[in-house]
Order: sequence, then structure tokens, then C-alpha cells
Amino acid sequence: MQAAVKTLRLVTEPPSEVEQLFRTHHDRVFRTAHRITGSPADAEDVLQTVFLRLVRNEDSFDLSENPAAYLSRAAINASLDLLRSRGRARPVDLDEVEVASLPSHMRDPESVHEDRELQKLIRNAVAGLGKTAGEMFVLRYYEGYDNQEIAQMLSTSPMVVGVVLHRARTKLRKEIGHYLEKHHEQ
Amino acid sequence: MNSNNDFDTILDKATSEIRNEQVDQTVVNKAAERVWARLAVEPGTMQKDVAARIDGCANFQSLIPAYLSGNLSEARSLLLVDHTHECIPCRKAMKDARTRTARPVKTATVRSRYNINPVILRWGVAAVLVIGLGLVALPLIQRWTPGGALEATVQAAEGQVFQIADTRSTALTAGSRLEKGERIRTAKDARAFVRLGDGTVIEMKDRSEFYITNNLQGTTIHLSRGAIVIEAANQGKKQLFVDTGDSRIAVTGTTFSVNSGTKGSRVSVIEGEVRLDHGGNERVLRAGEQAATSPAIARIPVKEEVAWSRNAGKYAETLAALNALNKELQGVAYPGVRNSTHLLDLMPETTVVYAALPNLTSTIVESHRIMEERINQNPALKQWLDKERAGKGPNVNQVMGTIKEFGEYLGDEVAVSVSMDEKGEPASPLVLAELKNSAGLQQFIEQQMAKFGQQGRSPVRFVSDPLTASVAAVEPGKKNEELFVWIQNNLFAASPKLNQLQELERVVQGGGRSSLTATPFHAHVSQLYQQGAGLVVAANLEKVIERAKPELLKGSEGEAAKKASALQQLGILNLKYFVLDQKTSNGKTHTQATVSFSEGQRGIPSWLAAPAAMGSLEYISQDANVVAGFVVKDPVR
Repeated sequence: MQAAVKTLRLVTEPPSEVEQLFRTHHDRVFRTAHRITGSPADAEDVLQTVFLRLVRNEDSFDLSENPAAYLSRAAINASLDLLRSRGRARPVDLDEVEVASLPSHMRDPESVHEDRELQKLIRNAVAGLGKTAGEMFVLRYYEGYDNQEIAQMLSTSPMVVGVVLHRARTKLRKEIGHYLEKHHEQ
Repeated sequence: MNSNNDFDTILDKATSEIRNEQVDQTVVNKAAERVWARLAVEPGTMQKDVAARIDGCANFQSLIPAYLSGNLSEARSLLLVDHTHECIPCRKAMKDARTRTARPVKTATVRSRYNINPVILRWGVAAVLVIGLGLVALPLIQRWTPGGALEATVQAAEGQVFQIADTRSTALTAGSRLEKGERIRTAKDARAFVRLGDGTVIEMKDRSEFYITNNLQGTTIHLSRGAIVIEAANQGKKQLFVDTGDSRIAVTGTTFSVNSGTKGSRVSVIEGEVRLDHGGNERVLRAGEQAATSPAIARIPVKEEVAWSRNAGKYAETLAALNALNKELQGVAYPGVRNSTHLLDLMPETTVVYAALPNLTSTIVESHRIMEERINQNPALKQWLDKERAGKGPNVNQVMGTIKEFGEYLGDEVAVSVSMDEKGEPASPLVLAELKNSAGLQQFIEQQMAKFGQQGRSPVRFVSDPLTASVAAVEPGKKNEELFVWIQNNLFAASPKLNQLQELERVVQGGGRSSLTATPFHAHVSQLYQQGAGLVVAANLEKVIERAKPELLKGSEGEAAKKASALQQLGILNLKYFVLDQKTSNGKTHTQATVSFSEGQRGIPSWLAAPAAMGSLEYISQDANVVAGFVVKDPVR
């Protein structure tokens, strides 16, 4: 896929450094942002924000990280910031959620709809966690890194990561417990 | 929802769905096009440095100096780092540049002001050049000359294990061969075992990558990232190296782990020892020890470092056994300090170097007994030790037996003196030892000489009375290589020169105190004993320099004066004694060396103040092996 993107444009003159980075990593950044925001439009906003900051040198770049890791983390933080800035960090009751249209070929539309709503609630609740807890939660449960890897990326210890994630889950239980009780009772 | 378990299950399912959610590639590409279109008009996005466009590896490598000095732009730094992750030549160039940056090249030019015989000078320079070039060239030749064929096979592969080459990757399975320079990589949750031709086994953690090369020095594992545990087979005359880019580890046969990441590397030793070279500093790590190449890398217990390994249980057991053994060995009693000595009084008046050490045989034998006992109780340790000892000469137990038996004859101390003759040349040494039991010692020594294969004429000649003995005639052009030994009551004496023993016998007959006892050097060394002596080395530098002065100040009057002034400034003409004392207490070894000067110091030594507290010692690392400190009167000066 990345090879396909790299041949998207006919290059008549050598690409700039930012363009090379964009070509190599835009896919990763977009998908990471989409996992967190759940919206292609928001993911596109995040993609633009991350590379705009790079162009403008707005972030101080930690040269000890590799570009992939740096851009992943930048995408995570920009995505969480986006959700927070739209005021979605507070718990949302089921009645306030707009009902989306579902593809007709889906089996059991009601359960699929409930799953999507649950995912939305989780995304919003994750954005309501603190900056570090939110980033750790995303790295662990959305991106699939283990505690050791997260500890290395964030320059902390696996023990701290474990404690933060445990507290995050406890907080999430409180935030979305009401919805779960309503829709997952046996 | 009835329980926390229900919540956990639901949350895990939901996050798993989020993680695996697919987005159509068309959607991604279209979003990328729109974003790029907006970014392209942003000032700085299309900025190019005309003078240094990055067209290929040559351009990337030209950016390395700026990157290392911190002067490269962020975007270019990102690109360069990204490129080195995928390009071996550029990664190597980065490593080499880092190494050159870390090791400042020292150039020293020494201009001799003194006239040296031109012929001697020329021969001396030629000899140094030949030896120096040989010493420098040989390791380089060994390092860069390719070795023979590399034998490396994937012994086992769990999960996704790949061989990576340029843009393609090939899945590897058990039995796959690895060629020189071919990279092997494990994916997430994968693991692999690679076996080298010499029997070395490399266990790879997931998300790890390395490739292997070999040369005349040995085999090198180039670890690009991740963690490996290596059970190194005995390398014989060669070595096994692990190169992480910021460090180089050398082993000859041991078990250790290397973990390499973007911030640096961490090396942990499970058995044996390794040499770690980082930034030009070399350090030896032993079983249970760990070192990191950056302070940003946390230290963790060695057991935890290898907890991911299939052999984690075995390693943990070995580490625990070695730790327990180490603690037990530290509890072995060392000989106490000695507060007086009779041997010093017997040394000749011309003594300029005196060394004395305690009788360590009981300590050595007891330590060996504990080691053998613990090793036999631990199969893993026994296996490792048998491997280490294989083909290494006489049986250790046999040697220990000899040491134990010999030690039972000796008293508390063994001393050696080196004298200086009238010409100022060093004379043959004299070895003295107190004996607890002299009966049978001569027979014991003769038996040991026979056991260790001394055929023909023995070099050791026992004399019952040195004053009546004579040196055997030797063939013209040959030297007498006998070692004369005299055992008298509770005194053991040995020297290559019979006249040393003859002088000793006169001292013994005269009351046991030589003329040395009247000298300030004797008083200085005796003072050390009063404070408690361990291993002692003392040199009478004043006497040595006095004898050597005519040679040092050779030349015309003017030249001699200049040389004298220079030596005065350096404090060499004021040197008096050098004394080194090493003692062991509570399992710790303390070593102290003192250089003393005669009164009325002039030149550089006059800057030294009296001993005092040194606050700067707080900044010395716990890992330091040698520390040199000075207290000066006026630091500004």
C-alpha cells in the first residue's frame, strides 16, 4: 500500500523532506487517528494538524525516537485533543446519541448499532482521561503495545503503566457503567 | 451488568473491535491528497536545500555530521533516522561517525630537547614503528579480512519470522539457513532460535532483528533492535561479538542478554563474563551484572531481563546459585593484617624494592572447597563449569591439593626484595618466607618438581650451608640458571644468586638484623606494618634516582643544568618513597598508594597541600575502578 502511495504523483523534481515523511507515514497517522476518533473527517483533520505542526516546527522533536513512533504519538495526542476540544469528554447518555444509518447487509442490526454506540462512548470516555492516561490507554488497547513497550516509549516503568491503566479502566467503568447496565443485562 | 468481569469482557471486546476496524484505502488516499494539497501551500513545506538535496545514500550520509552535532533541521533529522532504519550502509556510516565522535583522537607530540645518540634513536624509532604498526595493523587486518563461510541455521521459529533483504521479505522456518549479512526479524509475539556452526545459540525475542558477519577475529552479531539471549559456545582463539551500534560486546564463551533500542543498549550477564566497549571505554561484566549505554535506560534485575526466554527458569536458577555462592565466598576469612615482620629485618641493605604478601593458601583452599560443594549441588552451574574447564590443562583439584599442602609449611608472610648494585643496576631478587613446619619441605618441593615433568637436571639446588657452597661451573657463553634454596630452621630463602644467601646467612648468624634496619627506608616500611599491613609494595625512589642521576644528567654543563632544572620542576629529584598497601576486610578490598617527597618541595610537587577532605569524590561513579585525586594549595594557580 505504501508503495502505491509513493507512486501517486509523478515527481518532476526531488521531493521535500516533509513530503517524503508524509508519503511514508500518512497512512499510519490517518488510521491511528481514525481508531481514536471513529470518524474519517476527524482523522483527516488530525493528519493535517500533525504535519502542519511539523512544517511549522511547533513541536519539539525528541531525536531519540524514530519517525514512526514520533508521528504515531503525535497522532494519538492530536486525536485526543480534538475530541476534548469538541466537549465530548463528558459522559454521554444513550438518549443524546444520534442514531446512524446502518448498512442493510449487516446481520442483527440492533446489536451492531449498540456496539457502535458503545465504541463511541468508550472513545469519548478515553478522551476524558488525563493526557498521559489517555495516551497509555490508546497505545495499549487501540494500538496493541504491551506495558513494557509503552514504558519505553513514555520513559517510565512497566509498573507505572500497569497502575495507570488499571485506574483508567476503573474510571471508564464508572463513566459508561450506566449504559452497560441498560444494554447488557442478561 | 453483574460483575467487574463482565465489564472487562465487554471493554476488551469493544477495544478489540476498535483496534481491528478497517478503513477503505481509497478513503485514506483521498484524504491524504486533500491534506497534502492544503499543506503544499504552507510556507516551508516545499522548502528544499538546493545545495544538499537528498537523492540517495551519499546525500543522506553527508547529513550525518550535522545530525550528530545537533545542527540538522527536524524534518531532515526525521528523514535521516527513518532512512538508517532501512539502509544497512547508511546505518553503518552513522555508527562509525558516532564512534569517531565519542572517541576523541589524541595526538601527542613530544619534542625531545635532549641529545640522544642518533644511531640509538634511529633504531629505537624503527623498533617502535615496527612493533606499533604490527600491534595496530594486526587487529585491523583480523577485523576486516573476511572469515570463512558462515554457518547459521534457524533452529526453531514460532510465529512470524522473516529474512529481510531490501524490499522483500521471506518467511523463515526451522532449518532455514542464514547467509552473511542477511537480516532476520521476528514479528510481534514471534520468537526464534538461531544456531551458529560453533554451537552458539541465539534466542530472539519478538520484534527483534539482527544479521551476522564473520572475520579473522571471530563472528559478529549486529543487533539492529530488540532483545536476544546468547548461549555462546567456547570460541577457542577467536571471539564472539555483539554490535548494537552504540556498543560492542566481546565474549569467548558465556551466556548473556543484549537488549537494544532507540535510546541505547542494556547488557546483562547470566554466566561467565563479557567485555563491553562503549564509546572507547571498556568494562568487564560478570555473572549477575548489568550495564546500560545510556543513563536514560533503567536497570532491571537480570532475572527480569530474560524473563521472556524459554530458558528463563534455568537462568534464574543459575543466577540465584551464583549469587548465593558469591555471598558465601565473601564470607571466607582473609588473613588478618600483620603488625610486624621479621623478614624485612633480614633483607639486604641495598634493597630498593620490597614486597610482602600474606599466606593466602587457606583462603584459596577454603574458597575452592565452597565452590566445588555448591557447584556439585547445582546441575546448571556444574554443566557450565565443566564446559569452561574443558581442555584447560591440569586438573584444578590437583593444583588445589598442591597449594594446600605447600601452604601448610608456610608461615604468615612471604617477602621479596630487589637490590641495586654499585653500578645502579638491579640485582637478582631474594625471596624469604617464614615456615611453620620446615621438616619435609625439601622433599615436598622435589616431589612437585618431578610431578610437573622436570626432566634432566633440576633448576632448583638446595644448599645446607650457603657460606660453604659454591656455584657450579658452566660452559663458556652460558649463564648459570640455578635457583638456590636454603631452608634453615623456620626460614625459607631462595635466590638465583648464591651470594644473596651467603649475605643472609651472615645476617642470621649476626643476630638477624641487617644494616637495612638502620635506614630511613626500613623505618618507613615498618611504620606501615604498625598500622596493619596487607599486600605491601614499597620502593626507595630516592636511592634509585640518586644512583641514576649521573646517567640522567649526562651531557655538557649547560645541558646538565637544563635537565636538572626540568627534573626539579617535575619533582622527580625530590621523590623519596613509593608505598602501596592493599588490605581486605568485610569482603571489601582497599588499596592505597602513597608517593612521598623529601622536604623542601619545589616545582609542581610544592603545589600539593596536606591531605584533606575532597568534596569532589561525591561525583565519582560507584563503578569506578581507579580514582586519582589531588589536594592543592591554590587551585587558581
